[in-house]
Amino acid sequence: MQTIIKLTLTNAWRSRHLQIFAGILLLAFIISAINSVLVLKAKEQQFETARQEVRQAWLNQGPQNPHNAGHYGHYVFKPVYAVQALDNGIDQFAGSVLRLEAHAQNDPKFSPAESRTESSRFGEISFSWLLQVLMPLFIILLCFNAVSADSEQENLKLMAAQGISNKQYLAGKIASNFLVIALLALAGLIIQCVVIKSIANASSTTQDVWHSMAWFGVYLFYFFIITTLSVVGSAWAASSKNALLLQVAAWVLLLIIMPKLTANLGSQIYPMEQRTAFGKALRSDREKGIDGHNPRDERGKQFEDSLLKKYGVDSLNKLPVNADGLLMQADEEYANLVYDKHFARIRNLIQQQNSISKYASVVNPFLAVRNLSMGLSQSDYQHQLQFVADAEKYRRYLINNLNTKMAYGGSKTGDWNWSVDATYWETVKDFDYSRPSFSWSVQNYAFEAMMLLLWAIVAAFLFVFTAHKMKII
Amino acid sequence: MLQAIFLYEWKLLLRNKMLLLALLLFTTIACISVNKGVRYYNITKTEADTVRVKSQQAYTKLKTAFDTTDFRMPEEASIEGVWMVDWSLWEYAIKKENPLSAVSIGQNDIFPKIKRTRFATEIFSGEQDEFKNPEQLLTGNLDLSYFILFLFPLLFIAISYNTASADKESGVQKLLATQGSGIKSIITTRVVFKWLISLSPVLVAGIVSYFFLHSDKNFITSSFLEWMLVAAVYAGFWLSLVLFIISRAFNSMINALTMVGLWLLLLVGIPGMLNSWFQYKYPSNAQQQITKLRDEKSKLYNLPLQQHKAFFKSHFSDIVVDTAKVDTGQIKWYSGAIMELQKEKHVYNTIAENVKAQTTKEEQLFWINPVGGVMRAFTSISSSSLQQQQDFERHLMEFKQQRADYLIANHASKKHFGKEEFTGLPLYKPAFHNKPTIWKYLLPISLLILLLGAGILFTDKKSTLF
Repeated sequence: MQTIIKLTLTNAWRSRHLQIFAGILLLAFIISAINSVLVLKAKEQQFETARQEVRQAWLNQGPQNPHNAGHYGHYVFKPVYAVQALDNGIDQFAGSVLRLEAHAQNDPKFSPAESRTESSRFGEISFSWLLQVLMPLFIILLCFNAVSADSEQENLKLMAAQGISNKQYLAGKIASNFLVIALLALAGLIIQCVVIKSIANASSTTQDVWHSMAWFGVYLFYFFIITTLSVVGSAWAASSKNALLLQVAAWVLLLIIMPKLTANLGSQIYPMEQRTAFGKALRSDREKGIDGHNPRDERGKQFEDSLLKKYGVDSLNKLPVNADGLLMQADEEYANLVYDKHFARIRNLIQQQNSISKYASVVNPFLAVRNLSMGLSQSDYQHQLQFVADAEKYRRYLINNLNTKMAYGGSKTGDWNWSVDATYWETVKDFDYSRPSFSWSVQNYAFEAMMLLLWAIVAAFLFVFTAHKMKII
Repeated sequence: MLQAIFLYEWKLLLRNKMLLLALLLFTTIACISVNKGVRYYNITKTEADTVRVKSQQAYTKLKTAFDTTDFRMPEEASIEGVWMVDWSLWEYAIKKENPLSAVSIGQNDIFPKIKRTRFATEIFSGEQDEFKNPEQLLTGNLDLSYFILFLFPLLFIAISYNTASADKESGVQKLLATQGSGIKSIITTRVVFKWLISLSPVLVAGIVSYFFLHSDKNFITSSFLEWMLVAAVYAGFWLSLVLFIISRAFNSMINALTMVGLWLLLLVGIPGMLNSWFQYKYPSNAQQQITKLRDEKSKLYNLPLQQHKAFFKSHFSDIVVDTAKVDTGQIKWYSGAIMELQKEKHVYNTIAENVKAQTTKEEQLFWINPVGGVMRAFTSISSSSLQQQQDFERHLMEFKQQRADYLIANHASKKHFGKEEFTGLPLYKPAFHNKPTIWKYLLPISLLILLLGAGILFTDKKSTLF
């Protein structure tokens, strides 16, 4: 087996077209590393500047009515992590700014793609893209004739004469080719790490290291599966030309066409709800109640009555507290239920749309790797949802704080000109997004991880089966 | 001779089950891409129609209110408030629907096509934006333009890469050389036949899309033909490229690798590299600008009253304020509203300038990214480019200013903003834009076709094949 490995490595080393392709790949690794880290660094700076500016604006509001501050609102920004230099996932297409305000929940806005031209839809050369899409093509070019060429040149007979079994031969071919791929990918990772360290040194944490290691592990697994399939495919092909054609056709089908088809199918099976219909349903629930029998006016009246009863007075003006603050908070809490109900429906629809690609990873390991890669880089939809959920939690804290101040801060019902002093704003803590843990990131993609494992088992089975069936003479 | 070669290739085609299967698969994908586009277009059209009905109902309701109000009762006066009228109209600006956006969705799935015309609603608010699935946006749309740009060349490469080399490898070429027409003519005819066969899914999809779209009231046949012509130019580019590579007389394997390599370079490598560079060179600064706008706007109301009065006087120089109705405190709100709009416009223009610089640079780089030029041509005809979105938004900004000026001027100067004033209220009308000139985007690819053509002619003398 050692001889096979040595021989294959020597051939790969001498192959001119592989040298060129490997050179192109390494160059692409360097370019993608420099670009992604520069973009990441710029994003980090933007995030920090914007966060500080918004906090300062909040603190410097001066004397103001708390409810006005609720309408003035607050902006929160999705943080950037060093690991996103490896795979920026949906970041180009997902909003990273969320406006938090009284009475309403908003969607994140201002995705970078909104200010890009249609040419941006061609995609970018990122490290993850190179590993997901281009590396499999490189594996095909490296392995398509791994066995067929030996067969055509009748080397197989020589090897059999030397006592090398089919299993040893195939294992040697797979191991040696995988070694070339793994070394090339490792070189890519080292380039990325060196560039991250030299340009964005301050931003990487221990968690980023864990994510990066797991991320790279997933890719090695992916390459191993493709290498095995490509070598096995070469053994079954009638000629090297056929092997190349079939494998390139599979590459086109699985990596170029199928992701679009599954995404298309997702939106066809689970069509997105239109904004008008969403708005109508939301307004209806707010006005008539979630069950349709609890109108807003009646809810308000009931709440007022309960307040009067609690404080033993007969009019809102006689209350020792500001009823407006309490009424707004009660309305806010009801609105939260309504928004939660409707946003959950939309987010569930998006998850369902994405589930088609997820389940298609049964037949396409690329889809499993793509999802795992985004998840481990914390640039996937699950992390987007986590950010939105955290921001909403903060919004509720913020608005509750303002309404409570309005109610119990010393103002009277109907006194909308009452102001809190400038020091109050400091008592409201800033938004602090708690970064999801490594295990949280992984558990969302248990299915994809299982599918990769399944593909590895299939590849192993095909290896054994091919070794058993392969005819030397 | 031509007939004989076509007949020969036709017979080969009918005997090749794999090829027939591939053609069927690609035709199905092309039809799926049309279906995706048409479905997307119909959804956006339905949404636009729903919003139009809602706007119309709100307008009728408000008009009835103004028709019947005589302002004798104090509570009736609330109807004429500037912000009340603006709010109650529920009017929307809708980007003019172009049925051809079904064949090239472009950036339409990212940009909002419906925006409220209320002057107090920021153009950036996105309150009417459709929900988006970022993972789907990342994957991109499988529309007809994608099929033509990405999949058609692959099909063509797959069936034509060994047109000459296979004959050479199997020794048939010597037989062909004995034919009177010459090898060059035979090979060219055979490649052209294969090119036509590869185009058949596009042709089917084109007919299907015409069938679905031609009855739409906004459908313009000349634009559709123009779109198809762009597709033909692009297909012509691939024909000349494949002919050129075949003329270099490499073996089948090198032909296949070179063609796939060029496909990768032209459709993935160059555009991808440029996109990465653009992302760094022209970072989106919108979020910071827009968050700052909120603070700048809120500060406007802290300006001294004198400053507001002076601004109001200069902006509405030709109106006489009805002081019995409008006090100086009110002036502050009016001038504040106009100042807010001007700030918003300034921020919008700053963002737009950044984007324009990016677009201009991109156009220059079509000389090294010719496929980008084809994409721009497709989206320009289909009104799904960034440029057209900006035209729509800029027009809306202008309209918002016009609406605010009218409402404030009439409210401040007339005893009442009544029926007559309401009737004269400017309503939103989509802007008329000249048909975009798309041929400049196709210059680089046209030049490449000429160069490749010249290369093929030159190869005539050198090649062992021709």
